[in-house]
Amino acid sequence: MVREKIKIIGIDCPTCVYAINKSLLKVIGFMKLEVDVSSGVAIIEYDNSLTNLNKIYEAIREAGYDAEKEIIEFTADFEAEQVKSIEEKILNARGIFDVKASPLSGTIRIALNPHSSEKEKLGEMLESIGIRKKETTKKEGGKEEGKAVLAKKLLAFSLGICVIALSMLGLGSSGGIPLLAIILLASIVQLLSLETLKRGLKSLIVGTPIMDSLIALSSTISFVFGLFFSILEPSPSISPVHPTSFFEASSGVLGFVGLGKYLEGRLRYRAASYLREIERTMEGKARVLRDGSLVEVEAKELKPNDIIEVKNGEKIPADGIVIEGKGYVNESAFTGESLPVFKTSERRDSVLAGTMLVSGYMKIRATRVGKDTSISHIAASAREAQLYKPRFQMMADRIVGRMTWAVIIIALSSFLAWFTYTHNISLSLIFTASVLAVTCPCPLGIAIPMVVSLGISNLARKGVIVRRGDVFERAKNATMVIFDKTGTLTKGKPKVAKFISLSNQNNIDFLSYVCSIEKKSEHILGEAILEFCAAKGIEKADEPSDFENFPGLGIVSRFNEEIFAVGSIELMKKMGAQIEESVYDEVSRIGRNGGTPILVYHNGRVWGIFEIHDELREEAKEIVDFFKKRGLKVGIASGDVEESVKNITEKVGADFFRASLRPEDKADLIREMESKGEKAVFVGDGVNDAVALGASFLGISTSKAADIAKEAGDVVLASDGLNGLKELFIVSNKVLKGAKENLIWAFLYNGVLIPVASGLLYPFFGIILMPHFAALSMVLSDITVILNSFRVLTVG
Amino acid sequence: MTVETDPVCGMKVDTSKTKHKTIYKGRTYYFCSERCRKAFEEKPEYYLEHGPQGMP
Repeated sequence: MVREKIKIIGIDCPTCVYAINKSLLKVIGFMKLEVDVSSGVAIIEYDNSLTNLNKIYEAIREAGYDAEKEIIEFTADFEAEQVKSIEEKILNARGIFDVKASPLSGTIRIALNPHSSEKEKLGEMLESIGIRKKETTKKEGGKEEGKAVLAKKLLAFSLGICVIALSMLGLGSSGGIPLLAIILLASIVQLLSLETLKRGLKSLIVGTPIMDSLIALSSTISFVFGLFFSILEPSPSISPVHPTSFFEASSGVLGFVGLGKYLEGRLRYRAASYLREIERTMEGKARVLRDGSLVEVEAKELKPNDIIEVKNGEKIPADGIVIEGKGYVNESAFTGESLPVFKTSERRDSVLAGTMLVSGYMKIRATRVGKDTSISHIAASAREAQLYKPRFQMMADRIVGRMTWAVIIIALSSFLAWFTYTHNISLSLIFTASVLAVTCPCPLGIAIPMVVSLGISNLARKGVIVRRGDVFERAKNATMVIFDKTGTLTKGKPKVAKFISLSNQNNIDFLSYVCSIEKKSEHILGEAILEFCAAKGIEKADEPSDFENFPGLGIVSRFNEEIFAVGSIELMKKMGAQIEESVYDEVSRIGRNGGTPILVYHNGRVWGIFEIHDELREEAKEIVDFFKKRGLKVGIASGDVEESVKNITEKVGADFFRASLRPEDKADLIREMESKGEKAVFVGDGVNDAVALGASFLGISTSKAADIAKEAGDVVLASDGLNGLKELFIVSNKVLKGAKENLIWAFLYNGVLIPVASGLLYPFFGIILMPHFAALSMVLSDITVILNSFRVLTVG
Repeated sequence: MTVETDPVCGMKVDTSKTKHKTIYKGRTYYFCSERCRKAFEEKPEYYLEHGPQGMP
């Protein structure tokens, strides 16, 4: 039994504890929960032979809460085949909430319980399961190391080819100096590949064999028996396998695999290049105003509120506001749109780090610098997404973890079978070495994360930020898309068409209160009212003494004892306002015209109505058609009045709509649809629709890049407009297609070549797949699969 | 900090912190949880008349 102290986030009443306990009771092995409601500190008891902290944590999250956690991320040396076992071993240690390992970047991310005493022992625990954290190497060092590794691998490959050529020419078959030369060359190849051999054998000893283990076994068996047969039997034997063939095998396997791994490494590097591109945008110098004069500092040394000078052709080093000058800014790093956008200090436009001032001159006041900039958040999201695994990747991880063991068993069985059948030890060993050399778990372990990573990078370049790796799978399985209306299907720049006064009082005085209230609102309809006030030259009244925002309904405010409310007709009803028939008629008329009525309450009655119109996005109909053609149902969920939502629904051709919804009602709608078996994608504003985004099967937020840090959603459309949605669904299809092809290729390749390598065709056709050719075909299959990933995501 | 009583369960609620609130007949009511808010919105008169009844 384990007692673990954790801090649960989000608890504010005993009902929360009830909900968490209910969810935890579903976990087999959970025993007891005690919570201090005021602090959220909980003591959880569970049977660690039946469950672990990860399952407890998942249940807490399932109930809608979270636990305070500390994230530790580090790089380590491990292979795709070890991912499953690493994750399982770490998860079973105490105090671990979650673990994600990415073989592509060699990153392990651990979410641990900061309140657990086991945290201190993390290093020891990792050591005990054979994980060694890698020191971060400097860039220059990395390049030199890369060249040295390449030279070693190329030399091993060249010498391996020499051994194969000498052996195939028959040199060394009669012993003497040519045989000695072959032995010498083969020994050098072994030495040059010492790292692979050591790594492979070490992983085998600790019980988590990797591909290098198979290669090490194959080449060592070949080399040792080559030496053995050379000493005992230097002359040609009756066996189809000559002793030099063993050196041919050991050198060929190591040579081809070394080169293949180098090429694979290069391709992996290319796949992760977008993230490095982003990191590079944060490097360089910036000219900043310090003590009245411009000085040059490193971009990473910038501070919020610094005044930065940017000239044409220069990159903007921080997120900020233009306070002097103007110019055209290329924002393609965020939006994928290369057409420069005009920014000026007159409008106090905002600019983002990583974008480029194509022409003009400006001074900007930094608002977010370094790791707080939007581009840094995009990079963090993309990196995070790679750690979330699609279902098929989890399946592949399981297979890869067991595949190496299966191959060792097949190789051993093959040796025993052939030795029993032929009594020829050299022939039996060749088949064994071939089986070990031909097997390639790489397509399963690497190529799928690579397809996912390429998909994420491709979309990020087009302004679509994927925050979870399983988004592609979800997009493919979705059956319904529900759009928020205002700011999502519409442009989100509403304007007041007119104000309809329902009183005889002085409108200007009255509106001055309304404008003061709206000044405190963050809603885009509030901004429209403020613009209207500015255009009419209405002076704002004093600050309201009280202000309450009811999402989806409106605002209630107080000026001394005078109560005002601005919002929907629902809010008017909740205020207990006396609503005349003429008000209903007006509301209905505005809705039919596609507008939004915003009503104003004062002293128990409706005093006026704002008629607000927002233009439909040009691409809205096309996007709805796109989803309908793919067989998805399309709906609209809006807080607006029924007539207005109906009007938009008809214009874009959606299948259904729901109106007058509050944010929580939108989430209920999603749950209702899911209870009917639908898998609903929700597309909405990141801030107002956070609840619905969280409840949906796939949440897509339409926030602008600047808001990325704070909004919700599995995917964020950083560019203005909905075209990113199309890109997301097209790329998702490509990713899944690539992953499927790679899986089929991996299974087909191993399924066909393992029997051939084990000598199945030899009795019938005399075919022997020599170990080095087995290794060559393995390397080729590996490279083919990786190239296929690039092809799928770059063509068409 | 203003503290008000949840009309459903009777808990004290910090009005500046809770996100669970509703408006009824022009008055704002604050709740400790979404469950309490929903319960109130279903039968506001009942709770206003009978007072807090404990966790729904």
